[in-house]
Amino acid sequence: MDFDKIKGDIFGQVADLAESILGNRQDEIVNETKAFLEESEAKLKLWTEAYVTLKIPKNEYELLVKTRVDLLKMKALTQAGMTMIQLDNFRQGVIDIVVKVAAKAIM
Amino acid sequence: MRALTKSSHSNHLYIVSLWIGLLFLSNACSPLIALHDPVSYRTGLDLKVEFKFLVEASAEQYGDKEEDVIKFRKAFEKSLAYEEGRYRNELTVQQYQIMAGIIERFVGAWKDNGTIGDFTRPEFLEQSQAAFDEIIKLEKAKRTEGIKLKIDKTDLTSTQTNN
Repeated sequence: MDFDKIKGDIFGQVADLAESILGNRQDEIVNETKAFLEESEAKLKLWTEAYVTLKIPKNEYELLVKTRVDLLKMKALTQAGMTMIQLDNFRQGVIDIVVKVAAKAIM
Repeated sequence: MRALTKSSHSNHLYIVSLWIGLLFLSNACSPLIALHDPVSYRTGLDLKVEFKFLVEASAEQYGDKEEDVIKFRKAFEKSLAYEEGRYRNELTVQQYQIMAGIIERFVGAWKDNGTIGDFTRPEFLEQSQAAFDEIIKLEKAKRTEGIKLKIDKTDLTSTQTNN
């Protein structure tokens, strides 16, 4: 039984798995947050103009601004959840790889 | 012969330690986050739609729609309690708590002003629906099954045949 080959098999497959599951996560989060903040800037401008020119009530202006901030928090929680789900998927994948490679070696 | 026995012994040790390691790994690997729950997913969608109706209704006087507000709040509270009871569901619970704050502020403004203005209503509707979407998105993405050791029997059979 060639254990160097078994180890090589496992590490090779785990590296591929990490790349496919966790690969672009950071870029996704940065791009999504950037887009949200840019959109927020435009929204804030629009609402402030409406507050000044259309004289919308102060509590409605605050409702819009605070909901926008809350939406950012909600998105951050979703991203945290997505990362946990991907880590769970990665762990499951590692277990599957090790079991398959070890089982093949035994048979 | 002795060398062969020694080598065979070390092979066995290697395999046994691999399996023990796997068992530890699988035990330590209870999911980091709650598993997908179709009831939660459906409830999230229902609450989103019900809240849309409520925001649209805020064009009318609060007093005329108070019963609808109470009904919605009860449904929301029930859902929050359900989410709190799920294992490793802290992130969704936090989302619900933030949503509770959004609803509270909306109802407060509606009550104080009598109605919500024509400019604010669609803008708030867009924001609040997007907030519900985050709850739904996270629930939808959750795994449908927990971490477990999966041995593909077909794969094993084909390996045996090949050898």
